[in-house]
Amino acid sequence: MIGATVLGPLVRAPDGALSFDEPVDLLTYQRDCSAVAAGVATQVIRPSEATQIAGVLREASAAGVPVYVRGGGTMYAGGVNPHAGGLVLDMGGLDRVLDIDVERGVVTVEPGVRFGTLAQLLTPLGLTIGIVPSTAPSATIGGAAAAHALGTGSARFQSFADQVVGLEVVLADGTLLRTGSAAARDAGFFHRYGIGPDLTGLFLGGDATLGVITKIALWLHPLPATRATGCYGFADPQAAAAFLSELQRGETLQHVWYASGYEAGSVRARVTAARPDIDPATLPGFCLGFDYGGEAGDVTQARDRVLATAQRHGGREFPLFNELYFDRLRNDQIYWYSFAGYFSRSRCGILMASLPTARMPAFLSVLNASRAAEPTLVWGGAVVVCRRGLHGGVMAFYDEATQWPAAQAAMQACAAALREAGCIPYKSGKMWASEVRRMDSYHATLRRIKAALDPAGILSPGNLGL
Amino acid sequence: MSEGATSAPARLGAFAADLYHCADCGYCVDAVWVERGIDHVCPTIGHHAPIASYSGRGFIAAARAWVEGAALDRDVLAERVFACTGCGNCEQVCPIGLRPAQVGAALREELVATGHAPASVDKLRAAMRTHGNPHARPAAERGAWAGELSFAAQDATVLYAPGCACAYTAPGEAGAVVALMARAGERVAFRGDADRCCGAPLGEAGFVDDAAYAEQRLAHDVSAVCVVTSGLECWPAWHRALGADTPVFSFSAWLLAALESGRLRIAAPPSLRVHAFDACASRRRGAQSGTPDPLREVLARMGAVVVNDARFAAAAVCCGAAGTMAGLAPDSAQRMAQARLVDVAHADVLVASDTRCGTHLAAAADAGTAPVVGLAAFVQQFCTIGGDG
Repeated sequence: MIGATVLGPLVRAPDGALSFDEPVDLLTYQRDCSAVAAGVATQVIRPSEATQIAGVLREASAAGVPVYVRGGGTMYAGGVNPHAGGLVLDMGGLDRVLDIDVERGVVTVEPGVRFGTLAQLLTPLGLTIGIVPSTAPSATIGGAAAAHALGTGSARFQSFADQVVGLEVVLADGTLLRTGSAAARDAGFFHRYGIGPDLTGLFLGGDATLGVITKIALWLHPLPATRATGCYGFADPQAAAAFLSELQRGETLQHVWYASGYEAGSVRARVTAARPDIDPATLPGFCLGFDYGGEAGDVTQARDRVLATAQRHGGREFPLFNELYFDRLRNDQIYWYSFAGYFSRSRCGILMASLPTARMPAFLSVLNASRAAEPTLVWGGAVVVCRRGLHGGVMAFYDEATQWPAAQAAMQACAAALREAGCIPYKSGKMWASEVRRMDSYHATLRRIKAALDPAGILSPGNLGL
Repeated sequence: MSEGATSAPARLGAFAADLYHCADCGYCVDAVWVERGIDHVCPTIGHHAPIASYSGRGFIAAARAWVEGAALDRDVLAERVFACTGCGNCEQVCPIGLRPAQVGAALREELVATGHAPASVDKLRAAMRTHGNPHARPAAERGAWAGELSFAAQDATVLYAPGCACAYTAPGEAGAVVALMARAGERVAFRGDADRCCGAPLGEAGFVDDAAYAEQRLAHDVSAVCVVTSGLECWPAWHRALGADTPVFSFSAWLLAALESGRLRIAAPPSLRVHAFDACASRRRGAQSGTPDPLREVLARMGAVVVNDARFAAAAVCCGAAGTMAGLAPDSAQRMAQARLVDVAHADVLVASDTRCGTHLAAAADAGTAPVVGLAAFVQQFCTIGGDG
């Protein structure tokens, strides 16, 4: 933890915006929930209108003041950590649900709206935005857009970015940009593509390096009428990966709202903690949990097809894990983040990576190698099944009082090993910045876009290696 | 800036795991968790200042910075920390079981010990020392609620301790409690003007030595077979003071026992829609005793039609009456109360088992709000009473 001293405001607070620079208040703006080192901002501005942001960015650009953008702070990659100092825009004051257009099937919100708040409004209407991350109680819609969210819905819809119809963004020079169909005057949000290149995508996963998102329009979907969970055990990750690949080639996943995979260590730990009478050697080498959703008949058919597919790959139903863990996780709404802490009651460094499904065994090998290389940390890992491919999370639980250097080094070593194993950065932020910088032409193009949109380089310096 | 807080903050030492395991997930700041009935977890963030330094996460960050020797302005820190109501909802949502509210309490103790309590909090202590109650009301008026009631029953079976809020601001509730206990056959004693605060508000404000002294006074001055109190925050202080051999009940717990034993028979009108006020103090009592305050069980046994969802009682946020919020920032405390009163729109009456909540809510209610009553007053005003007493 880093202390701070009062240096005075860097930027004039716009009328109606909250601004503060007391060190006591700045302490909570130093970091997110990643294992990325903290930074120290000098000022926080909490706007309540997009126009206020335009003024702040114009002034910050002129003065060369770094600007970081913070939503719920639940990102795992340090994107909100103010490494270059400067000011933090706290988007919590932009928290209005602007429009629920049931006819168009679009909801438009400000970026500080929390997933929980939106669910409060949509659930009674029988609607959902599809992708709901595991940090939903505190995560914001804007943060999910800026940092690429996944979660419930990924098996069916792929990623949060795929659910975005269009954005309103304030650029570094104060320009207010609307993307998708809303780029046309008075057209509103109803199509993402059609006019020309997809400018929306520039800002999704952009970690606030190219602009500040001030409105997000999302597709609406009906809530599934029926839900059910099931778990399937496999002898090893190879068999499980082959099973998942077959499912992802077909259409069964349209009735699966969430699916995740658990390595042998996690399965054994969770089962034997609850049932010490069970011989760990009898447990599967890999387990997958499925959360089905849809009309009752569709769910029944999907479950039958998934079981038949699993059996073709040597899998079997594993109801014990469903009972002890997965069903509780899903139906008690114990979000993933919460559940991770249940087992270690400590801070947890998370390294998120994307991978083709066939690379899952390699991903798990890296996890096991990390566990062996740094046994003082408690390691865990899981994969989230997407419509195509996987997102993998390596978790290292540590005591920050005594294990911070070890955790830092171990996570860096793990990141390098994941790249070697064919995994790519996911939720890049600062966690993966050096890897993104190595992507020659991609990063060179990013830098050119950055130079065009943010010539003073004030927006989130350090994120994505920019 | 006042002096840097670099002296060893001994009271924070017990919280090392909390300070270094906090994951900065922000659940304790502003979580909205539909499935658990949590609509913005922290009343101070929602109604006083939307800055995380006022939340559990802020307390953990400040405590850690203090432990690590950062020079923080203690007066600024005090304004943040004493704005906490102590409702403990942050601890309900912490995914990894940390104790941000208790860290906040330890910070208050440290700040008091180093002379940095806000002026309104110092006034509270001064009122306690001068008048024996946090409201700065004359000690000689404390027993006025009893009117002509005799307060020294021979062979008393119960000592009734209304608590400061009830004695001074809800005399009707205190009188109704005594009437009901008498109807159930209890021989009720009370201390009249000799009664004084149990010290609970001092403890909430971080004056732990003063609070301990108040409890010692109780232990010295009071001898009773059994104690019943109308203040949920009073219950633990009385319990500590008198020890395990003397049962201490909240009035609702006493009433439940009376209903279960048949000493009282009470029927609520079936057409009346009742909002059972879930107090944060009830949850804290549950954490201390294993049993939350049984207001809902009492209402159920009386056949009352309770219209608010029991599933979310454990997620109750403070109405602004608890902690030092009401003295520090009365406007914020009133907004907290008004936020809780929004939920009452579909009820004909709100029943509060904690008098401190009830009087605070009643003061914040506008003309269109359903009446706010204490449990005993509810029974007296709305219900049909029978009994064998």
